[in-house]
Amino acid sequence: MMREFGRCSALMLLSVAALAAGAPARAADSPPDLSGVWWLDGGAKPALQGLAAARQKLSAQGRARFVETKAEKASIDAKVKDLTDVRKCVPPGVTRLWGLPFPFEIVAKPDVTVLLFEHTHSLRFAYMNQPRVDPEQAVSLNRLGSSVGRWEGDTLVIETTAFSNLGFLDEEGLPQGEKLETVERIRPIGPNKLSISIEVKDPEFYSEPWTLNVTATRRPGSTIEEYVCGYGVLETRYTK
Amino acid sequence: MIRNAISTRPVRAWLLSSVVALGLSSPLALPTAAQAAEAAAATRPKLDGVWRNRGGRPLGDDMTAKSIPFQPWSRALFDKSLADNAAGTPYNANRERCLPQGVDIMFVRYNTQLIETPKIIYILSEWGNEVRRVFMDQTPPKTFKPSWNGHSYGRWEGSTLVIDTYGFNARTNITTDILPPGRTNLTHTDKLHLTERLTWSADGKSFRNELTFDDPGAFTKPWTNVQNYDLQTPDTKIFEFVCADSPLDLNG
Repeated sequence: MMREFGRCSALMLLSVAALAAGAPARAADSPPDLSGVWWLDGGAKPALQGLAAARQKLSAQGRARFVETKAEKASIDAKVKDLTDVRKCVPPGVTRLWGLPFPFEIVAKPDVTVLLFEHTHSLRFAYMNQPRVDPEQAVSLNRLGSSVGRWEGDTLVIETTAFSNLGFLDEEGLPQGEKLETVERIRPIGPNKLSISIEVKDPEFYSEPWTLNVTATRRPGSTIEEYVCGYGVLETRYTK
Repeated sequence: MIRNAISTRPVRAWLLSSVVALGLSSPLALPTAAQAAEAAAATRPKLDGVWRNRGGRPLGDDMTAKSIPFQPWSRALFDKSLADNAAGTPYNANRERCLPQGVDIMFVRYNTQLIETPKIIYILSEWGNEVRRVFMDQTPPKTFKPSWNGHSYGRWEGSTLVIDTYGFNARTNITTDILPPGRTNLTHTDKLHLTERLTWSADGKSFRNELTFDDPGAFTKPWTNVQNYDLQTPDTKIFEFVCADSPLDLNG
């Protein structure tokens, strides 16, 4: 009888202590904390490997377009060696932004999630719980498209449409067109670890959808530095 | 009288510890520092949204900036820019050269989005898609690596947001808009310490930014300018701005 009572009281103590220690727990429906400065694991390499594989998915029209965009990209790359060429400030393509040795931030608020990339200080705004932007209705077609976002449990899902046909999906010039649509899924897989996947669909240039998978690590104490790329200047964390 | 076989000691022990544990998590407990901070935050204005500089001449009718306590060298630069405007060869501002605007970002008459998070207030500018980060949880160090936008530290004084910015390099202007159209060269040095005091209207639909420029390298004493911003409609979005895609005059 005494032993049973002892067990009972221990259980009582444990459950009450657990309640007290557990509060305040993250509310069941509040999103994970993605604040801080994130760095892609492996820098550019994982995304670039995925982008190289994506070339196998080019359609006939895509291959023809790639011939043009490859030449265009090579020409721009040569010209921006001249510091006065401000095209070095053009944001990389939406897939290439996940393949750079530069950090980024994710600022998640109820109405909008902003992705802030150190590289070319590129910004992407994902308006939360809004319908996908119809390219026919869009105010403008952007290099980085127009994004909407939503939470599915712990996963931030960002759908992007209404891309312009300017810009390139990788460093060689993989084409992007006005039919491009992407879906990103960003979710924590550890206390300071993110899994990021981006599914790319562009029926004009690719015969089927393809996906890049990368991971990122949050580095406490890290800061986003200035990336200055205007007329006559290139100042980044790697040039100073 | 039948003696109770169960000792009362263990009962009292678990009763006491449960009451303590419950008390720690109960609403009757004393407010924590976090709860007090939350209460203070509830009295502050709401920052989040897209705002736009109301415009008008930064110095009102003082079109040759007589009120600004220039040193002779900075006055000479400013006067030269007025002359260049008049001659049709205006000074090339950073914002037209895809370079950071520095302080001038607070004068530009394009949309600006404020986003408040616990540790950082973001000021996102449509022109140039530039970013200012105001750190709300750090004290400034003694020295800085000079940067184009400076290093900003903010705190609340009641419902006034105070932002101190240090560590500018000398490659940006305070503003280039003293006498629009055209561009003027109102310069500063790397000694500039900028203090901004932002106060919101009672209806929360506008805020006033009192900027104080303390730069003993360019001015004979600190001086102050006021800019006003109005909240835009809720569906206003910051557009993608790719400087290289805009028609710019980049002739040096």
